[in-house]
Amino acid sequence: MIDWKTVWKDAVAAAEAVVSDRAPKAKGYVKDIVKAREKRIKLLLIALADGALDEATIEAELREERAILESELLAVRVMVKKAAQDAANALIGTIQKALLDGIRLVA
Amino acid sequence: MPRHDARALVTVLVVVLALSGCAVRLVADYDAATEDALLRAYEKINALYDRLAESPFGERDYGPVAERYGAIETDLRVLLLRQRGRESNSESVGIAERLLESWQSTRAEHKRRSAAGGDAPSAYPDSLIALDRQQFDDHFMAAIAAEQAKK
Repeated sequence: MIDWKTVWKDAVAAAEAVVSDRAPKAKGYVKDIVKAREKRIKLLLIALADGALDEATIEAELREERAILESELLAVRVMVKKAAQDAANALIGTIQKALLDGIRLVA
Repeated sequence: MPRHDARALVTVLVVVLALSGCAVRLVADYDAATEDALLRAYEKINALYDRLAESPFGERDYGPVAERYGAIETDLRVLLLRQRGRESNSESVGIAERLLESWQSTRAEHKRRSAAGGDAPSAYPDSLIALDRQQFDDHFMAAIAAEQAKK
């Protein structure tokens, strides 16, 4: 017969394994974002010092910084959603398999 | 088979069938064509910036590279259209929209600086080329990261 406690424990473990696998990648990407923002701000300061930017260009570049950060955070959102999707499907898949195995024992 | 066992079997079968239609879908599937399109557009943008960076300081006007700007903008519009056609893909749509806007804004800015002329030594100084290159590196990294996250 199906032991639901064990099935549930296995299902949660499957979901946690997915999250453990994906979380470091998302964290790594967030660190990369921070470095990239710092790099670009430095380039912006160099261009300012160079006199390469007039007022209109400075405003455009600052708007650009915001747009880039928004894109980067959207990418992080995809990573988080995919992790949640895979975790949920791992959980459902484990339960489904256990049910089928239970059926085989009964039939 | 005893009646209660048969009933239990039917119940479990119904639950299994219900679960089999329950796959959670929060993001679109990975699309290799999108990643290829991103890399091709990135290549063209870098080729344009290489050309500008190699040109003499006073010869970086918008006119000679206008066609390249146009071709890249077309590629980015097609990329955006492709993202809009995919289900559960709102983040990549947002990224593609920002990428296109960024390109249009950078293009308009180059055109403006070329037209301004006057005492400006260059329509596209080296430090501004570096800054704008970095901006597109960052946009494309976000787009590629989002796509690869769907694997």
